[in-house]
Amino acid sequence: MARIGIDFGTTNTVVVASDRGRYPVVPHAADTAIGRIVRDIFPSLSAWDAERHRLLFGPDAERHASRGDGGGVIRSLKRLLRDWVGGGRVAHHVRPDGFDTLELLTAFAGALKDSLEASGLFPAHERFEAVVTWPANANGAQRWVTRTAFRQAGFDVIGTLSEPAAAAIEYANRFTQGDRPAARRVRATILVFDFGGGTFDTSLVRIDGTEFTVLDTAGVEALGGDDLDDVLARLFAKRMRLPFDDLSPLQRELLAQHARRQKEGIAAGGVRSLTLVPQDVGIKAKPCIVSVTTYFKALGDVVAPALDAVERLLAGPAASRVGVTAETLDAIYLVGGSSRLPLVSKLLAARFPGLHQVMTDKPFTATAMGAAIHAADTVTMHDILSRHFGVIRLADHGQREVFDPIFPAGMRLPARGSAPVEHRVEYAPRHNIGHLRYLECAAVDDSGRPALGVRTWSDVLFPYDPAIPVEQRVTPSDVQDREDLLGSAVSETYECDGDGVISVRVSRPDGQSRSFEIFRS
Amino acid sequence: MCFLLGREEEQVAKKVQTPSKPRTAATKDAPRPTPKARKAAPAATAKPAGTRRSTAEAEPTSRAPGAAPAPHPVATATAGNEALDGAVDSLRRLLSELIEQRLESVARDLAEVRRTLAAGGELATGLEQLDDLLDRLGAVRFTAEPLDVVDPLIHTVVAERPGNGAPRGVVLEVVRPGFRSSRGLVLAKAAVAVSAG
Repeated sequence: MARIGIDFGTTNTVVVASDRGRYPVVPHAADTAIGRIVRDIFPSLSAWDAERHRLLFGPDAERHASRGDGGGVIRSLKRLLRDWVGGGRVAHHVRPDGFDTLELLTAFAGALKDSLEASGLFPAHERFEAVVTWPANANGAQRWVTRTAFRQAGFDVIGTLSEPAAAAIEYANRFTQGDRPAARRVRATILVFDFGGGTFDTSLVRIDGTEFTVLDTAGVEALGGDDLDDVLARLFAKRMRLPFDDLSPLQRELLAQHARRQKEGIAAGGVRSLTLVPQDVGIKAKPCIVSVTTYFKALGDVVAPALDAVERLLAGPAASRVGVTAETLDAIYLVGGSSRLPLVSKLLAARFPGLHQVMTDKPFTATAMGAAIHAADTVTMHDILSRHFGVIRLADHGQREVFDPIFPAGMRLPARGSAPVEHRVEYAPRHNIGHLRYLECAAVDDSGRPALGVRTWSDVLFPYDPAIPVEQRVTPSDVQDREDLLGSAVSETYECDGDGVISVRVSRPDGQSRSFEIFRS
Repeated sequence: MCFLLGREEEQVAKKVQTPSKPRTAATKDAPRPTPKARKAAPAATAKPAGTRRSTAEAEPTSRAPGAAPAPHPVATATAGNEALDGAVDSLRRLLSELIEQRLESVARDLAEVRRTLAAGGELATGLEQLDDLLDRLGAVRFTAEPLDVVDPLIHTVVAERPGNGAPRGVVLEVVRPGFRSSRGLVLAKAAVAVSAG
């Protein structure tokens, strides 16, 4: 059995192995014209090879993307998962009927596993026990589909972690150099600022030796390096006096790639202006320059929601409960490729002058390393549910709909290996069939209504009427008022496991019951 | 990071170049110092792995009557540990010096490139100096052959030019060489100009 940590990122996936206290990044090999090369990343890229009717992943998909007209490429699969609802299909731009999301992600995870097996780091036929990471604000379906896909691909998913929580583990390990006695003495409260390729997450984490507790978390779903590239690509288009949306998909793709390279040049340091020779991206126009100052000015509004999220956390109830402010926080830990942009550090310093910033020395591998350390069972993580989960119920004799929170945001998730959190509801039914409509949201307003980041999940239909078999397929149109059932009682028993995946068992008075995985379909 | 070092050496190097450590408290119940005091406080240190006591080696053995008493087992173990500690410290110092010398050498070469550019030297000259430095560090230089199909894993397209009959997307010219480490990690992709078809 090999214990590994997997950071399934928007742009790249990184795997770190746990090897007797060492945490090497697993190299991914590829054959090229100069011989076999290795890379520390496996691109989170998929592509449809229409000629051969097959899917390509990782480096093969990367090569496919660089050829032809740039079509057939599925980028940012992780972002697609965010909007996925059980059973939905994605990437219709690649193939008219799209792809089943779970099948696509399973195939990607399978290709990743093949690459791990070919790395030479593990014995043949080794089983992989993996801790997989996901964004702190990942919704239920995203968590379910990610875990299920990696399992179906043959990984033993022994745990999951939010990305900032994993980075916090790596932070502690970084300073104690893997020295266990020293690690046990660490006491700190840090804020992880995880600005990756496609998501932004921030979490307030308390470190008590080898015990890690996520106190609060916030995130911006649609903010990542891709957005920063897009701003620069649009600035270049503006300099060329070309409407960005009028460019061909290939021109836009090449321009985005060029923008990414230029942006990475800024992160490396010393760059004051960004240049574009339009012919290099297939556009006939004069060369143009965008100053870094202009670019950063344009980015100010784009990055602002991330700073707002930090401010919310520092002013939130969890921070005040432990008496933490920007001045007393031990450190803000900057991870993720986009955090390397000097603007991020500058804006943080301007908004929070007393904040002690620590930049990771492993912007691309910190999360996977934290996951690998967690996989080695040397630390304990106490994470929280980042979103409210509940059901829409009828109130006032069916006149009004109300949101009934089952598991609130901030609820402590059970530690790895612990029993799930249970919540039981009992009531007298008013209908022959219960129509349970589930939703998640990032916040509720003062009157208890879902207010932010609302996601509705698949409805559950369950016959309360003992005359209808529980397995019978029923539809919302079959629902009828049944005042005569008021004398009976049905129950819903919810279970939330350590990964924040929720299931419900609905039971009726005749002893019949049925279980449903909420996020599945 | 110096890619001439193997993975094991890198690990040791990281241990030797210990950065500032986080604030620590001696016990769980100890009062938390103020943030400033915590920032100034030195990290709690611990013995490196490898200095663990071996009780197996300290088992008493039988001796002839009248012979000098064997050293107390704990004393033997302590002496052994001290010798081991000393050896580990010497090795660390040696490695530290080696790494420092190597880093200084690289830094000197980089400073030379910097001087060239600061004195108004050509960018191309600076890049050549950097390429030479990579050569000296043991990086393997690679290029591409004309009409090679562009491979994004090892090539960066920096220009597109009329192909004069060459198919679209094939390499016409290598603008700058690429470099890889001995284990095959691509440190710099080869910059190539490709055919526009």
